[in-house]
Amino acid sequence: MNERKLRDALRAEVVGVAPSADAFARLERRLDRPGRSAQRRALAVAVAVVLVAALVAGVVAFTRDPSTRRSPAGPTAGGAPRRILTVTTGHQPVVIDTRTNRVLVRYESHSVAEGTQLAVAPDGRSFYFVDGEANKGCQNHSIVRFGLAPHVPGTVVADEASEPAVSRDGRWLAFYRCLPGDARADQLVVRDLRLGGERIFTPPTDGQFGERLLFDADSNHLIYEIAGPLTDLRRIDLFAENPMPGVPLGLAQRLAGTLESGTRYLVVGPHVENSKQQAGDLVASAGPNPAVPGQRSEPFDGWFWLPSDVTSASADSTTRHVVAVSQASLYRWSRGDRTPTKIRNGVTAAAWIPNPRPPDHPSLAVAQDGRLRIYLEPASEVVRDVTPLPPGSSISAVPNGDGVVIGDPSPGCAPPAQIQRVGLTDGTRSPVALGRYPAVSRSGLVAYEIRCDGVTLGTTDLASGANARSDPLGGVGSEGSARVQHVQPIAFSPDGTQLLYIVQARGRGGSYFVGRVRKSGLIGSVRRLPIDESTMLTFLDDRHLMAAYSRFPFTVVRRVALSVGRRGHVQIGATMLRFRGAVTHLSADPIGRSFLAVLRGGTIITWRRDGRQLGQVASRVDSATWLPPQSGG
Amino acid sequence: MMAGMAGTSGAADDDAFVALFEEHYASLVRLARLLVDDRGSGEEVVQDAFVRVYGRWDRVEDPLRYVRRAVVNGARSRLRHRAVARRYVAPAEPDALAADDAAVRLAEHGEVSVAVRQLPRRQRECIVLRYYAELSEAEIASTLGISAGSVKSHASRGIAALSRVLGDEL
Repeated sequence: MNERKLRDALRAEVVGVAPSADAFARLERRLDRPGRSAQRRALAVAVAVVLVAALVAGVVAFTRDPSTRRSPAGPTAGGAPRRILTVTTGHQPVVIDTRTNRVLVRYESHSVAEGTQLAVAPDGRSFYFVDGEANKGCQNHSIVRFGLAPHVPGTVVADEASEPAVSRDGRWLAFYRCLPGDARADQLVVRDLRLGGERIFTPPTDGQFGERLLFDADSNHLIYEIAGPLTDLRRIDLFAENPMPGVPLGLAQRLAGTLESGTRYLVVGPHVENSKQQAGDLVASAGPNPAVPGQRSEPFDGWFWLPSDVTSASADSTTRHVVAVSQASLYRWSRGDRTPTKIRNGVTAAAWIPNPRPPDHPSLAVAQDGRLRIYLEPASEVVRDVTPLPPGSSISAVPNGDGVVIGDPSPGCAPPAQIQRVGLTDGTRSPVALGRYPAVSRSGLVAYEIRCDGVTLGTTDLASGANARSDPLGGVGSEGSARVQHVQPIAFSPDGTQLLYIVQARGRGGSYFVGRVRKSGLIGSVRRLPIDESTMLTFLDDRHLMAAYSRFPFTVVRRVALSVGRRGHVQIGATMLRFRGAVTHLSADPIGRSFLAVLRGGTIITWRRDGRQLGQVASRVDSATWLPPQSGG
Repeated sequence: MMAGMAGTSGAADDDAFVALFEEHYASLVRLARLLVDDRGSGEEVVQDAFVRVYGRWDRVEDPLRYVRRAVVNGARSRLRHRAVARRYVAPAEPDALAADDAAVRLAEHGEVSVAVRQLPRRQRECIVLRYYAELSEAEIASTLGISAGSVKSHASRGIAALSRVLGDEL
């Protein structure tokens, strides 16, 4: 253990600890000292002077030339991301706080293959690395994704694969893949992270795939390395009909990253001497225009020099801040700095982790693998793992988005199934009612099946706690018809005035019903819908339903008018969406703008009202519900 | 000042107490923070120590040494209290933290200081007094009321334990 490091670490631990401003006044009171106002004033002045001096010292320390500062307290340049993903000389992925240079997270159970590249998702919520021993191409290597949320294990996203790269818009993941038993990269794979599916490219005829793989800043172009007689970089247009082999990129230096699409790149120029005639590497910005007869190439813009050789360099999304690794030491540099600042030793690769953005899309609460989790859609990323749930639980969001109402699917009555409200921030639970299949309206009315005291339809107002029981078949009185065997509320209309539910009655089978929601919480004016129970329904708006039905192997989604035509038929609109798989659950957000379907097997498909499909969010899901935007992440 | 000193040295002792406060209060708060892992408790420990030294001012030969020892003893007492109290409280299920919450919590507890906190009490005190307060072995021995040889032994074991946990690299 390095004693100096220990000393520095202990000091760094308490560097921000200062006495409270009224420390002496509190002490004086405890001393039971008769008032000596002059001395108290002097002391107050002295304490104030000490505090001001400490403040000034802090400001000076913060603003002085960063090149003179060294680990452990490096500079915090304005706007720089707060975290850096690094790989240690022990091959572990480690996340470092850029404000304190301390380790935040260490992923101990994984080993990063030497010399392989890291990829951080642009939303700062996950990263990809190559798990495996040494750099043997892609043989025996897997690409692992880790979410930066706690309690979420890593997932293997590709086997026999290497060199992950994520596009800046977060949509594409590219990597090289080997055929079994072959260390060479045989395929270049571009995976659509939102919709699934892959595009696979084979090497061009004039060489093999090399090591580098980078998306250009526009996310539409991919740069790969060709290792033939001459190592070369090629840029391909992912939206072109035949992207391969692409256009040569005229960079003479080693490519480290993209800065501006098609115009500026982060490069490493080898064998450059500094002012002291020491040989090293120059980290620079360069354009792609090569020298042509009669014209010089575009000069590169040297940013900073490091001792040979730079094994990793990465710029943040603003292109103002760079982290680089040279001779197993991590450095950072920001535009305006004269020299880079050394952060710590024992590092072989590094990349910025963008600061997590507040969710700009709605979030989903999902019952998955016996846990209640919050997903950020469409990034398919768990942002919070809330609490355990009984398998098969159904969930519905409460109006203010700070919780969900969950229903235990247990059919028994000893004890009866309970409906509970669960807080999303702390997982606290409070009982709502005894029943199953809760659905919550925009105003906080929970509808559910009462099972153990005659099968009927119950409602509870979350605000007042008032309960009501209604006959799901529309009979007068509060007792359910003896014919009813099963009631399952599906959804309230966006304005909260109608409830859609399924009733299974003896001798009739299952049918959809819509009832009016009265102020008392009772459901009345019930009418049966002429739609088969095998069709999944939910509200599209206050006057229309969304219907999803199977046309094997696809599911077709169409709009259906709530009003029934003269001949008793429903008016069916045009197809909104079609996708593979069979739907087991359909749900809309509270304002009817975003929709989701849980497919058999537990995959969630999400889409917008205009029919634009967004993505496949999760798998092994029992139930899911949209959350208001403020409750995500 | 200070009723106990009013009849003896009076203003001169007041000044000495104030000087002791101004010069060492902040650093003692930081020392206590390292020992008790909680800034609020740390400052309370230091306040208690100053109250005690004030009450014995005319009998204390070296006020700084006395205060420092009182801080270490006070910190020890706080930790013991906390450990006992914890035994009677049902363990809470760990909070499900958002990524940023976890990051902030981890940032507050750097790996070295976390490792130091896991050392046995004596080793921890020796390490903090040696490497944070920069005391000599003799001063540590005096503060902790143990022999210089014991200090050496505890510090050495503490360093070895930290090396095992942290290694030489990250």
